[in-house]
Amino acid sequence: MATGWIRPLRFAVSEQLRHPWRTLLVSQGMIWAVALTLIPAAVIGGTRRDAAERAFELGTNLIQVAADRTLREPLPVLQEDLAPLRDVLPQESVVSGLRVRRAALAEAPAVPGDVWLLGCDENLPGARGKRLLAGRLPASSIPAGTVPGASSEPASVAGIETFDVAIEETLATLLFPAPAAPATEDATTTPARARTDRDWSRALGQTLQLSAPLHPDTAPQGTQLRIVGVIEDEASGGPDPLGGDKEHGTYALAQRLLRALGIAPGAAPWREQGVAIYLPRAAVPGDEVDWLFVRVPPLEVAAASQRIEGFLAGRGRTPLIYTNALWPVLTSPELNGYMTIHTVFFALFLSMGLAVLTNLLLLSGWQRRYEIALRRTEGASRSDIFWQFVWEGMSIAVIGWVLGILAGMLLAHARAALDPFTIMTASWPWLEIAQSGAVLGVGAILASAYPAWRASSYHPMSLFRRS
Amino acid sequence: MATLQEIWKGVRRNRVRSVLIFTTFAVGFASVLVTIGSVEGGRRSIRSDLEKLGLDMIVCLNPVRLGPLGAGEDRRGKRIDQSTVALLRERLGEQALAVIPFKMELASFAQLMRAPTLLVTTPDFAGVFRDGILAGRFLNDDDVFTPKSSPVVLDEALARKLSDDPTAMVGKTFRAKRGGKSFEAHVVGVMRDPISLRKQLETFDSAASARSISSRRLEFKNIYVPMDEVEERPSGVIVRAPSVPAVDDLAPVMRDVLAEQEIEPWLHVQKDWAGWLIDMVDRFTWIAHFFWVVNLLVVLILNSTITTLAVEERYPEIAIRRVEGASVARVVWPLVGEGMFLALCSLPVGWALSELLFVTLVTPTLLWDPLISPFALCGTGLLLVLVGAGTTLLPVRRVAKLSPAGVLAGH
Repeated sequence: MATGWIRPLRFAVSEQLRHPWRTLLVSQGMIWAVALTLIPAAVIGGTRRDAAERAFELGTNLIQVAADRTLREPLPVLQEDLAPLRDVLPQESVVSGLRVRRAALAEAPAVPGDVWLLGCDENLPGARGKRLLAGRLPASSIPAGTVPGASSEPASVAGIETFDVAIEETLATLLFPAPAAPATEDATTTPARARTDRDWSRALGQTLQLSAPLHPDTAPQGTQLRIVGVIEDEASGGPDPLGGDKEHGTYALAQRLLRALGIAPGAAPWREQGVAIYLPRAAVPGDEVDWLFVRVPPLEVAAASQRIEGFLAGRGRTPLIYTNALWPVLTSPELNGYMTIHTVFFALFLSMGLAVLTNLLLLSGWQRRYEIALRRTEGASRSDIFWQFVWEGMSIAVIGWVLGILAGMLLAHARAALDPFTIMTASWPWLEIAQSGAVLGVGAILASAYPAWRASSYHPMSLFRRS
Repeated sequence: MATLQEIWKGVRRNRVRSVLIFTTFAVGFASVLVTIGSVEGGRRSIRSDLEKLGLDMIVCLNPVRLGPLGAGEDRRGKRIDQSTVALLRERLGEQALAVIPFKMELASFAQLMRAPTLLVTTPDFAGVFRDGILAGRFLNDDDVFTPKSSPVVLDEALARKLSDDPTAMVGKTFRAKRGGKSFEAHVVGVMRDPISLRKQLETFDSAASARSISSRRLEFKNIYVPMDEVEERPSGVIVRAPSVPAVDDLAPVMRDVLAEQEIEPWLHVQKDWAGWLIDMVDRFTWIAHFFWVVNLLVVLILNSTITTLAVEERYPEIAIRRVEGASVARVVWPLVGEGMFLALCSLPVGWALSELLFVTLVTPTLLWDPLISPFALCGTGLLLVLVGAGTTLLPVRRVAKLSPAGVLAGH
């Protein structure tokens, strides 16, 4: 039974292998039809899957809010906005606010410039997505009467206050470089090199001094910072607040375009320098929150960011909301509408491909009419001849399908590589691959049917008589 | 005439093959036209939208920190105030059609999640709109904003978010917030949307909430509120030149006047800005052009393959005609003519197919009208006809020159 279809199939494949260039040319239409279907499916599907599965890492569930500094009188988010803001967001949201101040460290020649004091709360790691590398974060509240060190109670001993703080990795490297290894260690140990030494226990428990007191009224003698943790930073790269990959070759062009359209992540050197110190927000003077970080489920980012904007505008604030710029486009239902264009081209290329296939099989049947006559006299039935030609058509379609998949995936990966947004990636769209294969298969059978019927209807005697 | 008859006979004798060639040429031509039409139509729409934003305007924004804006640099100095507006009006005189102070703020109202922008301005601002008013009227000199209520004008795009029929918004009242304080907004007019690519903008302008509030004026989703020219301080001034070329003369004069006042503002010359954006669009259009060139190449390969295959079937016919005494040219030209004839006949059908695809699928999806230049239309058609002729001529000429006996023997 099996040999009934294996033989014509083997015949069909060997026929294609005898004419590789002709097969390649004939299958062009099918190759491009399949490729055009797979490119958007691979890019959109891959990016959607990655963005959902690695939301925390890629920041597709992150909303960042800062006041519009281009205004003469920017009205930042205030501490008092945080509690009611949580009420307008989904229950599982994590909200954290940062108060940012510039400061200088006393007796720290290893730190070339100023450092940044970041007043934070306990939600920061969950909201901003930075890992704690060692120790712990400072406690967010400063309850009165607690012992310094056990919490972040300022200890106003002889006019000096002390806060528990976590410092960023680069700052830790500058202040507490890894001890030089004996003999083999290069004398010029750079911070970047030292960063490979992830044992930050040497920094924990150390104390830093600010060059000017944070609260001169209550602690005029100065502010001490006791390191209780080391936290990951963005000095070694990472996406910008819109999800752009700063290292990417097309990033600068994308930035120029966005700037021309009035969009650009505000300058935030505290993010990029890696010399920030995290301490309880209440310890940093002021009542505003300079940066707000909100994590919501990825599919709710667009709605949540609009709600945040509406809420803050209603309280008279002037917020700018940063989310991954690509993610809302990919989740937009309108995007599926644009797939119609791909369907149009799929249909056009497929119809051309199948017309060429039919023509090839017609020619093939005509060229091999004597071979067919011989096979008929040897006992082959009309059905055998018919299926041999259908298999030939199918084998060309399969070749076109496979090459189309390869071309489509190659182009999809190239497209993803050109994009400056970190989340753009391509994956194998198995459903679309199967669908295009099914459509192509049915099309190939239909396109082969007429030539196969014509070839099978040659009468051996009349052919020999004619020859 | 005899050649034409032979061509027609050839076509009729091989009906299936002729239909297949004809179909491939027609579909190929349609696919190239759809690609070109979509790309060029999109480019035309973007250009037109940018031009409708007003190329004859210079927008002068307050000397503020412009870190995230296009200028990318800090500019500080005195603020623009109403005296600056008065001075500009006096010094620019007839060089400027209008000097319009404005101020951008964020508003809020319950019906919308995203905060719309509030554009506080004077009645002269009506001149900024190229497409005019959709319903009602623009602000006039009698309109006044009070902390409790105000007449307002809406942009069509914003009105559509509030009502399916934007004109129905005229006469309606809703509560909005300005600076965190509630007021009653009476809609007196709706301005026509100058942006034809609104659907695309809504889908792809995903970072709109990160756009600086001053730049949101050009989104045309504003609520226009009357400005009290005595009490309120503007955040910017729009100066309208009498014509687009006049902008070049106006900008330096404005810079001088403002420098005298020790104001160092950011001058947003919309003509230059739009020019830069159009240049970017043109650059990106080359990528789309690359796509249609690839499309054309694939179509040419397919068409040449199908023609070559069709010709191969007719080698014995060529040999027999040579044996009968026909010259090489007498054998070749009817077949070449047949290829050209089929390609030529397929062109109007391909063009009609492309129009059908535009009307039924492409335009309803992209929402812009296709644009196919006569050069692209004729050039693509000519290429296809040449392919039809060339791919017939070369093999037929080669076979016609061979010994007929060899050809008939299958060598």
